[in-house]
Amino acid sequence: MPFTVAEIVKPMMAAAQESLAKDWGQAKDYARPELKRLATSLADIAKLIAADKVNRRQAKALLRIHRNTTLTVLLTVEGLGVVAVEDAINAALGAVRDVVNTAVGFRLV
Amino acid sequence: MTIPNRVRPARRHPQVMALVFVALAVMSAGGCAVRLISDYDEQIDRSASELQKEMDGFLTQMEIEEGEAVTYGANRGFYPYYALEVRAVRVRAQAHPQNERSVAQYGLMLDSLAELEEAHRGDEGFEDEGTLPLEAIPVFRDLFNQAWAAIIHLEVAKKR
Repeated sequence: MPFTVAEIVKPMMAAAQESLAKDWGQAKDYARPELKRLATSLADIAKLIAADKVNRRQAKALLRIHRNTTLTVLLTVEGLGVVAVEDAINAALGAVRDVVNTAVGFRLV
Repeated sequence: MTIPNRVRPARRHPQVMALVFVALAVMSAGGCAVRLISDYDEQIDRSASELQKEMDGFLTQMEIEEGEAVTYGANRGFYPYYALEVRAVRVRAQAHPQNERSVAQYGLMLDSLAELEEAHRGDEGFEDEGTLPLEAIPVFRDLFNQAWAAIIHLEVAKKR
């Protein structure tokens, strides 16, 4: 039995939106405190440098490690976004699986 | 310049674009679930947790012990050993397709390790006498712990 575009777009959009809202919320929940933590450690590094508690080489190392940690956190946020998109695509496909498979007569989706 | 309507299907027919999206997704999925990022690897998860614990333990030891025990000379062996361990996890991560982000994270970890060694090493000619500044050790530890936590968080997120 054939189906119309309108029939499958609505459940697909609804499933994708619901999935994205849930997963993206989780990515945001992760990112917020981590970025705050990075801001705090950057302030700590500035205090150590201002108080001459570290030499020039050690200050450079601290800043470089801070940069690396920031990039590591951002890669995780990006990865969580990819997982969210993947989940949304699969949720969208899942929402129309039965309709599409019934229409084509075999397990396409 | 006016673009003729016939070359702007996306704007006029969003449903058609949605259908194309479905078709592409189905084609890439081949009847299975779509995968945009690698699968979870329990061994990587375990190794990353171990490496986090080892770095935390090392820096805590540098913080609480005194004298010769905390010098670069007495601890220089830690750095190549730890680098070897991180590289081993990176190689395992590289074996998974669509795992570029995790692989990049291990590269950043190796760079941070080299920087820590640089901070530990003494001035030229007195390398072995170098120590990590006591006040900076908690900051180093927090940064390493945060980086490892991020790596583990991404790995765990790959569980389906």
